[in-house]
Amino acid sequence: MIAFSTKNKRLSTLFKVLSSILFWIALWQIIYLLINNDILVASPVLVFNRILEIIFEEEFWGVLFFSLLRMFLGFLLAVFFGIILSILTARFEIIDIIMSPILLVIKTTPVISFIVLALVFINSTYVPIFISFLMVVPIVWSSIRQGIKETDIKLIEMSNVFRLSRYEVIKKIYMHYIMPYFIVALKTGLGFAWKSSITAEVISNARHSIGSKIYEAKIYMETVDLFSWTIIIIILSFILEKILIKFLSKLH
Amino acid sequence: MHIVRRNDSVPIRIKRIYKKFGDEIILENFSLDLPDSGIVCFYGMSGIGKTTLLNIISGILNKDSGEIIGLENKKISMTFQDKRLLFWDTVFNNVYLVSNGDKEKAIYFINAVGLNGLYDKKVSNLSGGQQSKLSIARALAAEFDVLIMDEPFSGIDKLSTNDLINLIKENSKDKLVLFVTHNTQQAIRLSNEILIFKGRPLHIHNKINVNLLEEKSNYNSFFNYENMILDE
Repeated sequence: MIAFSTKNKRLSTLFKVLSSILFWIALWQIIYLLINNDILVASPVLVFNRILEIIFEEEFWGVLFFSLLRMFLGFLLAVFFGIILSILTARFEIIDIIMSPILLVIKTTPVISFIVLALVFINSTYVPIFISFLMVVPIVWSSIRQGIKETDIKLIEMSNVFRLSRYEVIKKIYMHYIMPYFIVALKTGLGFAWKSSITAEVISNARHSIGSKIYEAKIYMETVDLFSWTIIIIILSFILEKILIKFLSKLH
Repeated sequence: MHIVRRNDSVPIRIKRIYKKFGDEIILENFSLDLPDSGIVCFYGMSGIGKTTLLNIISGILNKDSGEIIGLENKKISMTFQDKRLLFWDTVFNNVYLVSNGDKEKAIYFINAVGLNGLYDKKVSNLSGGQQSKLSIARALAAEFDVLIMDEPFSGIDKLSTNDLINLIKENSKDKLVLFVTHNTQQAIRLSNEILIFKGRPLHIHNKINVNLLEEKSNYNSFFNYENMILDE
């Protein structure tokens, strides 16, 4: 009975999602017909055909691999440094005082400013790595720091009385408070890393990248290609998020 | 007034402790000698600073001045007034956490406090009385020389309290138990000595030795002791 109702619920959700997608594609088709200009708005049919073509092109998988690699490198580095930074800032107030303005600046400055600045100092191939790193560090740092701040000090006192090891205190107490924030940070961070690294690829015209494909489409006014790559990015982002959620649910 | 002063050795010495919260002086030149074994009850009204004293002894709170000698190499275990359990975790994990990896010991004390079969139950799903029992199980499962218990029986029924008193006695032989209560019956049943506190600042108003087990089981003596404490 429970299995049946779960299946029904899934089917209902799937139906809702498909209806929503169909609605937006229909609207897109209507707008396409109304504007009737292939340079401004591409036809949905042409875009879907082009997506299929792109997927079967040999170059696609290389482009996809390098774009994902850059994004993941930046993302993983940011997670690593974000964790270290949050521990240091929670432990030493002076580091918190020093780092807080820098992280606030990173959070509030438009990504494009950093990309342009990074291009002066870094090889264009590595700019997307640096940018996704830069965008994700504050997210991870602030979320873990928040988790540490919310940890019940009375439980830490309890752990001191019972002489628990530092490892046990982290694993059994801190992790409970940090994990919900960390999971949200990873989900948000992955989206940020993906979007910012593609933006950096577009601006820096990095070799073998989705960004460079978008850049080329823009230069040659290939609106169909532009729409196709944008949809590919959206689909990839969706898949990545689903994989991450699966991974995180296992981790939690 | 029947007051018996002990002549035990004094391995733990609390000397001229001073503690202030804001403008309020909780402890001023407070001194107390404690033996290294036996059950000592801290009896007194709420809010006079008994928990502050226990927290200073356990190292949770820092004293403003003064010194405590003899606790340096002693292992402390504790039940807290506010329990301080990992409410998201299971009964077993809470006890196992402090038992130095000894599963059997953890299970033994969970059973001994009457939480049999609740090993996998989340602490947040336990009643207040069950949480108090779990807190006692955790304190006993840890290695200790000094066991500090701050109102350990809150929310526990009388029958279970008696069983728990026996369990604590059995497992604290040759160890020191410091025990806070407002309940005279618990104080008499569990302790060897009752320190009657008054505040503020916190000071020992009187000491009553109840270290005569035969008399404790005698109703007349029991009520005599109770009246003696209440008269204070």
